[in-house]
Amino acid sequence: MPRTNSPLSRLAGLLSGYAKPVIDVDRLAPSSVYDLDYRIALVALAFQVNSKPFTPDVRRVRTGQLKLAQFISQRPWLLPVIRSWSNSRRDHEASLLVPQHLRRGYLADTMFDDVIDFLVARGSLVRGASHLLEGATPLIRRIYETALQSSLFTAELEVLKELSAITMTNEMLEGS
Amino acid sequence: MSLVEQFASALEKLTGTPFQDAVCTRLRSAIPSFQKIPVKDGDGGLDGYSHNGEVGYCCYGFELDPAKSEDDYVSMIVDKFQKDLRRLFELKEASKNAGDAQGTSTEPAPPATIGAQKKAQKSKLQHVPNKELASVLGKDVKIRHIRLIVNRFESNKALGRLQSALNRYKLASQCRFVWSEATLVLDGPQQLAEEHHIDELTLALVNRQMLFERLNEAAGKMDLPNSKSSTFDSKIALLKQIRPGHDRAIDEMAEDFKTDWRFALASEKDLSDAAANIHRALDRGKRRLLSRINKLMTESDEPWNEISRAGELAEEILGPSLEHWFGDLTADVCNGEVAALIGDCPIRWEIQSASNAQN
Repeated sequence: MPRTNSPLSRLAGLLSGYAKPVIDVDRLAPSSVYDLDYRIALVALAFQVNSKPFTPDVRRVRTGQLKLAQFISQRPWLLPVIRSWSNSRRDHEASLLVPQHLRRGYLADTMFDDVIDFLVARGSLVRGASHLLEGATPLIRRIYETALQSSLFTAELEVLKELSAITMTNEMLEGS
Repeated sequence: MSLVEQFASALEKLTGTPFQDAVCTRLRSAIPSFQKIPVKDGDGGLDGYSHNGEVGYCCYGFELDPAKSEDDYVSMIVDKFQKDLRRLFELKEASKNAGDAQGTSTEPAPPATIGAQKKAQKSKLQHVPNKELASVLGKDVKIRHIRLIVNRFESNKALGRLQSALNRYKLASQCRFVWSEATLVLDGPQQLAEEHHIDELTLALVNRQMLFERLNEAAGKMDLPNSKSSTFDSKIALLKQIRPGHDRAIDEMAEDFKTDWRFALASEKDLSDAAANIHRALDRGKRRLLSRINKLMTESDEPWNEISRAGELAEEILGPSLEHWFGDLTADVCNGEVAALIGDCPIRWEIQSASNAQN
């Protein structure tokens, strides 16, 4: 229901007969959060920072941990929330201070699922039961090395390194 | 987690007015005679009453602070409710010592008299008429039971102090609005949750309060683009040039747009942090919305009229995704999204030339 005397109706009244409204659809910038290249880069960085050797040649990471890490790397303001959440694991009173909706937020990151599907399809990652492993295509490692050499995504890398020092339990990775 | 636990947990996280609103909404749904008291003309110290004014309710939702101890919280609760009780009993604490009050002495009291003076200070309560309460309760109505409701009730230390205060106020008061035998209880979220039936609607209402509080707080902290170089301000300057003599109205409109724009930014951040899938749907929906407004404006002889419909169109296009998260705040978020489209860039205006006007 339109608001009475809304700023939009006042604007329409002021423009009426005097000015022509113009819309530049192309000037609507999509959020960088949904840029495929950016998200692949974040997954690659998060994978390299959080993964551990599975075999001498292959590293692997828990899927939930990778999802949470790449999500927080784009949202550094959530780092204190994750830290408090981790610290409050055995303290019910302190856990009240960690908002529930932020604990579960990253679970709804469907873009991550799409990026992983894409990387698995092109052979850069292999899907395990609860882990993701490096695939035959060395894309993940190459992106990480390029980022380090060219000092790209330094802010995101900093967040990822801070996050890797925080203890993550299985409960946390389920958002509970 | 049971519904009772969920409700109690949600109430614990609310503070200030949203806590008070959530409690009043709950009481109103559970107690048919519950009357919430609007604050505008003064509530007289009561947030609500029921049973024809025989039961009075006072709420207090304070901020949880990791730096504070449980004893600090107890002191905050006692201070707040003592203040409310004094208003109900039409009392106020007199000045710190009798000498100061009379303006006769500013010298520190000699050690021998400090104890006596403290005693006098304790009992120094003065009658102050509470006009608001007279109009809230009506003639000859007196409260028999006072219910204090707080968002965190972990320690029993507040109970004795509040009961003592009640007894002290009864003795000092003329008891015009409270019975001299009145009783008092202090309840927390758990007691309130266990008292009446909890359903999904109750939970939805309290969650909405939490969302509203969160969004308003976040919107207040949102920074808009720097005013000197912003596209929005240049659009407003152009509008003033097109419509001279309307500067004040234009400035007021611009401020309203900025408020809506901040709300949209806060809403988007909330979605992006907590419901990324809905945020993704919103990101896609904005392009569809813009294309739709563009089409309507192109086809119209009076394109400015389509601008005023942009909010409705936003609700039609973005609403189905957003209402899962924002509920009845969806219309506000949609208006904010249109304000953001004006503020950010894609919607602008230009002086209508003669050829434009003919077209």
